[in-house]
Amino acid sequence: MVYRVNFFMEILSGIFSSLIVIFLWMAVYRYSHREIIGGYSLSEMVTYLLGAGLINSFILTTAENPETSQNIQDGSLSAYLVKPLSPYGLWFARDFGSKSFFFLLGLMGYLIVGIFFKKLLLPFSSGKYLLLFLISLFLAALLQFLLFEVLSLLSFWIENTYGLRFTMRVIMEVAGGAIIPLSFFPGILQETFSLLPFSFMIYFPMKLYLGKIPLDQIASLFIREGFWIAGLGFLNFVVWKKGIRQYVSMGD
Amino acid sequence: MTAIWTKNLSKKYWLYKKETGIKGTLKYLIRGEKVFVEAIRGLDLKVEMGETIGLIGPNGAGKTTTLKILSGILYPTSGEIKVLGFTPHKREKEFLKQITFLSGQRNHLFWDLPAEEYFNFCRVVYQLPEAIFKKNLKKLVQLAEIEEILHIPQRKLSVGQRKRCELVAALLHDPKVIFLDEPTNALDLTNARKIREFIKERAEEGKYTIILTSHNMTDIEQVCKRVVILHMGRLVYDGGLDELNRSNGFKRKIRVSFRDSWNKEWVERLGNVIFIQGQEVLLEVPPENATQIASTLISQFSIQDIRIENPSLEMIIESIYKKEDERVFK
Repeated sequence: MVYRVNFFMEILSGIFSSLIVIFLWMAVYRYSHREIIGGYSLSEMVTYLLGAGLINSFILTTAENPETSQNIQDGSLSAYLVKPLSPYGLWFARDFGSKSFFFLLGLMGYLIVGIFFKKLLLPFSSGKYLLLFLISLFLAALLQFLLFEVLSLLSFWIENTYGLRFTMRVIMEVAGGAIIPLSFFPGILQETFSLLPFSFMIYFPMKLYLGKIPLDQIASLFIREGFWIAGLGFLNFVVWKKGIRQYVSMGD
Repeated sequence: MTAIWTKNLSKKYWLYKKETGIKGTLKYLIRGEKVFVEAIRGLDLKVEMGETIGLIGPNGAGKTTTLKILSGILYPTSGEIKVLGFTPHKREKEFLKQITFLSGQRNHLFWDLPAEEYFNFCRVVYQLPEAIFKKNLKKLVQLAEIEEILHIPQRKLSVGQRKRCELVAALLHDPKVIFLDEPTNALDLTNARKIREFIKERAEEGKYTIILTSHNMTDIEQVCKRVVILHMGRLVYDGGLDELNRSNGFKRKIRVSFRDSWNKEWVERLGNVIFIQGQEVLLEVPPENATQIASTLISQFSIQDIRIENPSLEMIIESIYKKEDERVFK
């Protein structure tokens, strides 16, 4: 029960902060008397922010998933190791399950909020872009899992990885485009962000939804994301293999 | 057929030491002091299929570490190891399906869910056919007497009830090699006895290879014929429980109450008198002569009560630990 309340509070607080940012931007548009700011119309901006909120509700809330590091730290991993199952697969499945759950919860929440912004919300630009958007959402979830899981796996060597995961989460929120579209940042930051994988979490899917990426550039971006996923996947594999070798199974 | 075989098995690892107080904590933040732990030092062990072995030793002797290496949880630092022909830490599916590891210390079951849920989880994990699963479950549930608590969430059960559920879960897939780490730890007499009887029944079937660690000598005496004693990661005894009882030059004690008058000097010649209290005498004698001396006493005097006391297993084992301590720290 406590868990469930916790879930709702997480989603609710996410919705609140989305609303604050949306109202702020509405004011900016109104008082600057400009139709377009930084390449975004008000409708596009509101759509972007609500969409970013929805993606956040299942990517950000599950980012700090402590299960992996707990299992390693307190030795409960041992119980999985003696069974014919893959602990890594189990962690992945659990994360996927909780992401799906949070996605549905967030979807409900943001649909309700969306009703109030009905006039401003834009539909997806075309069926093709919607499909690409959905694929990019799935890949974003995968990328996020791999990025954080590798930090959790460091628990084999260091006692607490919470700080690392928290820092990564903060960076992800900014560099992923959860607060404003990345094109609003100064040039040097934009260049830095484009070198990092975070932009694939929110900025890339939302730009796809809004149809703001020319079709001929999409493939190369997906390929880059694919490289990130493959690279991080390999890194996870190496760290897991090395870690399990020196697992000490604390606690009994 | 050999079930378990190790040669020169060793396990070393590093730990960080933390000193107490604020100073210690700050120091720890920057660089904790590394402590080198040699949990197992060159263990040679051979266990045949169907054997039941008691692994004993003082805290920190390496018992649990040994079990964890044999079951594939930990990587050995060096040495060779084969369990059922597999290398445990490779964690091959076919190997893991044939073993089980149960810790008395830890909860394996899902805290918020009833045992039944966990049994179903095991069925999926071990890919058990429905019919076999049902058959095994029925038998084990009866044996462990948990019919009535199957549907109750784990957190509402007592430790003893939980442990019995865990034992059932651990044996559902009918593992050939069973590792039990202090299975009766923290249990009351009745629950400990139930678990012990359960294990004993398995052991007597002869199909299973069981390795059991325990500080409770009753567990060892009732279940195991062979014991392996570890001390600071080294094997110091490997052999039958009976030989352990007989060897080590432990004296037997004869406690005798005379009915009528008795001859003190005569009795003193038979053995070492520990105390005399009126008509009662406690006599220490070499183990091989104990019965003979007792029968001499009975034939010579009128006796009310006579008893030959064996040293307890606890005493024997403790003296072995002490001897090893002295040897190591000298």
